[in-house]
Amino acid sequence: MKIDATILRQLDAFTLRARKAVAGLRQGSHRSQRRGHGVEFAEYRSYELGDNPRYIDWNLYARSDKLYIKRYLEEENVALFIIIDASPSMTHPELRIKWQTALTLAVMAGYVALASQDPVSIFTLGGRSSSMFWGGKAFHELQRFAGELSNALSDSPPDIDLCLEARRAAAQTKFPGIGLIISDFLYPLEKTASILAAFRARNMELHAVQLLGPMDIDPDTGSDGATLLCSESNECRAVSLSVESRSEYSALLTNHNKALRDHCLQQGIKFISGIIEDSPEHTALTLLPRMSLFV
Amino acid sequence: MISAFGYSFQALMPWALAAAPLALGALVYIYRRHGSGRNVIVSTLYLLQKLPEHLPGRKRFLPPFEFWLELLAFCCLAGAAAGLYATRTGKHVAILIDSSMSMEAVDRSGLSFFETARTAAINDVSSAPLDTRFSVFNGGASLTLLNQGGPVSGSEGLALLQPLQPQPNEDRIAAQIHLLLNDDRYDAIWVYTDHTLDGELPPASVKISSVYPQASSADLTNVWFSGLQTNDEAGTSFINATLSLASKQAVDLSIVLICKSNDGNPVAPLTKDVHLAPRTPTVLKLGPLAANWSYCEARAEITTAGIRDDIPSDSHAWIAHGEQTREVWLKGDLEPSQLGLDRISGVTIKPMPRSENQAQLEAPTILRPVIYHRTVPSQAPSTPTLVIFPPPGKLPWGGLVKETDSSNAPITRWLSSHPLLQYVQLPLLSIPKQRILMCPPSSTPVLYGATGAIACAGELEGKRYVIFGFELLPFDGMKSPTLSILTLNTIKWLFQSGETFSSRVGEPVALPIGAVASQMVIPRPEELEIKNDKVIPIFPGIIEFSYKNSGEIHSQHLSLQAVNVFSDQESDISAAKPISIPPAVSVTGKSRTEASLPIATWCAALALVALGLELCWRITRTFKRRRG
Repeated sequence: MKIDATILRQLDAFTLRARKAVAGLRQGSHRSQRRGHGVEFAEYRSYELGDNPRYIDWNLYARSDKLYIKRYLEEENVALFIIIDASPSMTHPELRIKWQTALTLAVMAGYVALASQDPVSIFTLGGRSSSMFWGGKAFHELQRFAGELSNALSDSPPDIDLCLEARRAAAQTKFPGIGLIISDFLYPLEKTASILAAFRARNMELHAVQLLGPMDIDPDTGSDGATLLCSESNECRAVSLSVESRSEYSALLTNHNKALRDHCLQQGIKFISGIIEDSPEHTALTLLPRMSLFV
Repeated sequence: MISAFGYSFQALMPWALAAAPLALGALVYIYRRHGSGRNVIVSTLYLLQKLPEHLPGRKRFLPPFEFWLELLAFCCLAGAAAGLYATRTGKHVAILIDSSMSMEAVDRSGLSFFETARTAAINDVSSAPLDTRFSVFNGGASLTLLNQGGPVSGSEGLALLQPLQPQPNEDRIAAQIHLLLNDDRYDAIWVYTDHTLDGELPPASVKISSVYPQASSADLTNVWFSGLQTNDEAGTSFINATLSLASKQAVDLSIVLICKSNDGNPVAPLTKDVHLAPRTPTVLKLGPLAANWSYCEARAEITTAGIRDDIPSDSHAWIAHGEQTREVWLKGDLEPSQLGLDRISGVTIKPMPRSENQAQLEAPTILRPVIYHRTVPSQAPSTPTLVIFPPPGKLPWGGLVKETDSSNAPITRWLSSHPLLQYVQLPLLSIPKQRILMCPPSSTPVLYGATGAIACAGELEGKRYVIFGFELLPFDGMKSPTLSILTLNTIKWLFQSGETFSSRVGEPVALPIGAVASQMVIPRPEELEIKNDKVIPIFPGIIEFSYKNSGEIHSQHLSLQAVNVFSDQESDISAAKPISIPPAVSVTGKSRTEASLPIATWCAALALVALGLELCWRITRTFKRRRG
């Protein structure tokens, strides 16, 4: 999946930002929990045998007549874990715009992270690309992986358990970092909570992005009624789609999203909802600034 | 077939119209089923399953906008497939009213022939069916259509007839009827004239209403000038006036000659009383004229009690001092003197000047009449033309000269009523060699040989022409009386008005060769029509030519030209003049049908528009839906 060079230049203005200090693998540009030899002063510690005398604060010794060494905050990199919902509601060929937007958002987020030497890992949950994983530091490999994922459209819903898939994906994370979950979140709140909890248990700083297509917002088929086919369960149902029914649906969706937002707020998870109005690139570019993950 | 709004609506394949109600039923079925049968893929039914169930059977059918567009498109396509068309109901009638000088004559009822003709036309128009359409023609010197904007209704046609008046010119009714017959647009031709029909009955579509009062024709009286020319005797000028009378009895006349001198002052009028017998042209000598006379007007008044002049226009004549003779050119291998054409009075026949660009001389702007001897012009001339014994081939007016020549063939038939054959004893005529002619559409065969016409006389755009398929010349005077009379009649009919030098009303007058001239007409300046540097007088009188030198008028007048209407044909109202209608020639062979309205084509175009609108509508709605 290729991103246009002009869009990449726009992405260069963004930087990945962790809200809290997390432990990284290597030196980077993010504040770490560990004490090391960074730039920002952290604390004083009593001198112990074996400490490097370079770090003794002689001014403090002169005042207190005791030996103390300075300790600084370590700056390390932070891993970005991108978890993409690959259930049929995202990967059905009739709904391909959502899958393409999710992949585009993932590639753009990965580009920003890779630009500041932060490692990126991508997990998919469910679908034909069940539990596909990639981790690396090269952007072109990320693009190639996303290209493989873009062919993962399927109209036959597999029998998967998203919560189980989420736990498996969370178990693969070796160290805490930032988790970006991209989904439409059009399932019961309990299921959503279970998925989010799987990644919270790994001490990740979580960000949730909800992607909704035009039919998710307003199911207008041009007639007062239609037989609807669920992409998740293949179930059919004749539903009234009159003006009144569509207004009722809009209220249901609003309540669902409000419950979702409240749950995320309680759990300390940043949640944003985006409507896919035009091209995937344009939608992803409008979502990135709204995410507090990037500055 | 359905008739409405003056049109008759028909279809080539009426059964195709059944597609329209079928399309309606099919569209209603499809739109009622729309959505209920087709599965629409959604992300999940998690929230949608909480909405009420859809029961299409209980819903009222409210078709969307595109349903109506598709229905319109199907109905229009059904109309196009059925080949719908509409034709005008009602006939298209051409009304031709003779407005020549003879129509001025007033009969015993006190109404002129023209007023009687107009009343008859108004009655016929009023009694015609309401859906009849009319084209009104004024049959004067040229055929003039009065309703230029297309056929009119009966009431509008009547309004066009009201302001018409007769004009002082000859009629060309036969040729004009022929023109209308050859025009496929008219279902009927109604002609109102003082002529009567001669020869074969006209086609059924032609109705000729003759207003000539046969019963009271003996009561008609008209005196007219048929010629006016100067005569010099021992240095003194006189005027020879040729007078004719149509009446049941001789009448007393008073002839008044009113002249003007060169300085514009009137000269003492000369009066002469004369007793005139009917039917015999009389030449009167008027004078002597003053030495400095410029132009004169002659008036003839009937002084016999109880008798009036029924056509006043021809009782005046004009003559100008020093006006040019009528000049006619001859094109051929021989000189006019070799052909005896220098012995004909009233015209001066000269060889056509040679020029490097001979074609330019034959261009329609030439004003000189031309005699073509054993040759033909390259295109139809704009002046009166005589063609004598042309070579085989096409004629510029249409028609053909056939290849084969007949020798010593007799003349089998002739059109005795034609002015060309007046006083001609045809049984005495023997023609050694003759070529058969296919007469042009605008002409009438005058003489017939054994296998076809050998003489044609016609008129194209007001310009007369005669074609002889045999050798008419040399002019031998009394040595060959029949041929000579035929030659004189032809020259008179083509180039002269009687034996005068003056120009004729309605014919263009050649400007004097030389400087730029400005023209004025005496006595009625407003009646001079100037067209393409030619002067076309529409009333009798005097045309005054002035010359300019360095922007100033050099002299008040350097030359004068008299314009008269000398026409025995129009003035002799003692008997009705017959006309014969030649058979119509359909040039293109098309049947006489009027163009119908192409409703099928309009339906197809409307269907395309409706489908285009529906496509735009659907694209716009899909785009809006995708944007959310």
